[in-house]
Amino acid sequence: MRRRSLAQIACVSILALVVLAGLSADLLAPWPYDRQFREGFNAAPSRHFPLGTDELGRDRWSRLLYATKVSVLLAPAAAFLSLVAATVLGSLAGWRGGKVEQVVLASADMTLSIPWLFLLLTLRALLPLDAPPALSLVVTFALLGLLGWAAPARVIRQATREGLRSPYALCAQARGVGRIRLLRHHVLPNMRPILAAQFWTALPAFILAEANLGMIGLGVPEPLPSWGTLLHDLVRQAISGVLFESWWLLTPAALVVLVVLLIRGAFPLEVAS
Amino acid sequence: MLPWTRRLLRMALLLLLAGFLAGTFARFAPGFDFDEEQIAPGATGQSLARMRAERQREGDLLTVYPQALLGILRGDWGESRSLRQPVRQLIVNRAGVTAVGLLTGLAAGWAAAMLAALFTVRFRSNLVWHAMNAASIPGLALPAGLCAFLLLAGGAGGRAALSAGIALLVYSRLFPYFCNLLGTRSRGPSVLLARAKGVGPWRLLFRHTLTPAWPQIVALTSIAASVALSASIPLETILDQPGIGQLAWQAAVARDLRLLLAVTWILGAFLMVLNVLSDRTMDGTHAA
Repeated sequence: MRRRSLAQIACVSILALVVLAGLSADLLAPWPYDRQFREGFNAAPSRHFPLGTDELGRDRWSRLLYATKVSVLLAPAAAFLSLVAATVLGSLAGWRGGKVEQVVLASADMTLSIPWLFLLLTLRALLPLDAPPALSLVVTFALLGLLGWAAPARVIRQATREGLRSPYALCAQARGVGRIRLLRHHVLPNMRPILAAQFWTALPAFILAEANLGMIGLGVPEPLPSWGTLLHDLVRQAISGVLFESWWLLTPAALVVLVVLLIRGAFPLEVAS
Repeated sequence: MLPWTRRLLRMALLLLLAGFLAGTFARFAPGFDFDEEQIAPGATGQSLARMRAERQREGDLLTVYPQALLGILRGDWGESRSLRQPVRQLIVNRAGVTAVGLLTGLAAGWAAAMLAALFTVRFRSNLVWHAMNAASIPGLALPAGLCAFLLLAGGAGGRAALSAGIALLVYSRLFPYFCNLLGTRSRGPSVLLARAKGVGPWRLLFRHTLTPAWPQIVALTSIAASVALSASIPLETILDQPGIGQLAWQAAVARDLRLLLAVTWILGAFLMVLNVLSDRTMDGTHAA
């Protein structure tokens, strides 16, 4: 097993703490994320509200914890969904070749020919305005997952083709192993590092894409918090000119940066030349 | 048929399909038949009937798509329903903002990444590498929109923040790749031979390391340009810059079929050209 450096262990540990804090939002958050305190709008940090309150009088700390829960649960789910779609289509293309491969590659090219974020916001804008927040939340992340299949599918298709031509696959074929079994039991398990790399590449990209969508008002709808929604609040606050006098408003941005950096630090990917 | 003709035809077909797909999504989106003007206080029965008839006409995809195609061939892109202006005029008016933002951002980010990579490879110091790498953190870990917005909040103007946001993003994407590419090249046998023959360090860097890596650098630059184009959508929207990125956002949000088709085709064509440029350069390298 590959040895991990001290920095990687530190990154994984801090990341685990953030994930744990997000998952225990129900226990750690002092207030529900949508509870309004009408006596204190835009309040500064205090003993009751560690990060102050927002313009609707909701506790920022509680909202940050729930937003972390949403993002740490759904971003990996979206990355997993995209990986599953990419693995099915990519390995099918690499395994069957011919027309199937052409169709998969053409679909991937078509998906890649449109800016990802544009496609995402086009599809996200299709949701009715009165859709329940929970549905919008799931749809946003599901779209992220479904639209992210194209680039990994091309990598997986290539890896499948190489795997099928490799000595161990030829040896298995010579022993009479069928093509489906060959793919399932020999080629796919050997692609685990590639699949892991695709997952860890997609995860920060999805976190940032959700944040970008949230910032242009097409992310998770109110009152549900997500990192994108909180950053949208931050932009609104900045417009009113209080951003740099109120450091605590920058906490969501700092958390997003921290988590993305921790993921990149914990699971560094080789930069291919 | 020549491979390149086939490839171009395939690209054109994929682009058409992508546009039609985006248009079809918008057509069947909830709220497509609704127009904000329908609830305007001054709306009369006659104007409502006219608006509904207009929407019905626009919703008939079997008529709209051939019309849009024929129109584009004649140079007529139709009219945007949400902005009440000819699509062509909208695109012409806004292309300048995006082009200037992309070009200046790309040039600044590229130059900074190249200088940083050359500096790192020349002096081979971990400290230098960490310092240069730290500069790429905001572009890698901050959402593009927020990155530019912080610049704006810090006092930069809208256009400057757009260019700076793109530059930061391009630097963050290119620096690790440039560093890796030049680092690998600088350890290659031809460079070692040149060093053994007494070639000076700067000549080694520029003549023997940078020059042979040029095709990969062009390919990486075209990939960074496509990243910058995608990022221009949130950047222009948040910074309120009237460019193609903001137009794409408006088209998607307003479910404006004609505008959506035009923007999809323009963005798609730009990305495809960049992909072809990248593939072509790399193909040339492999062939050589």
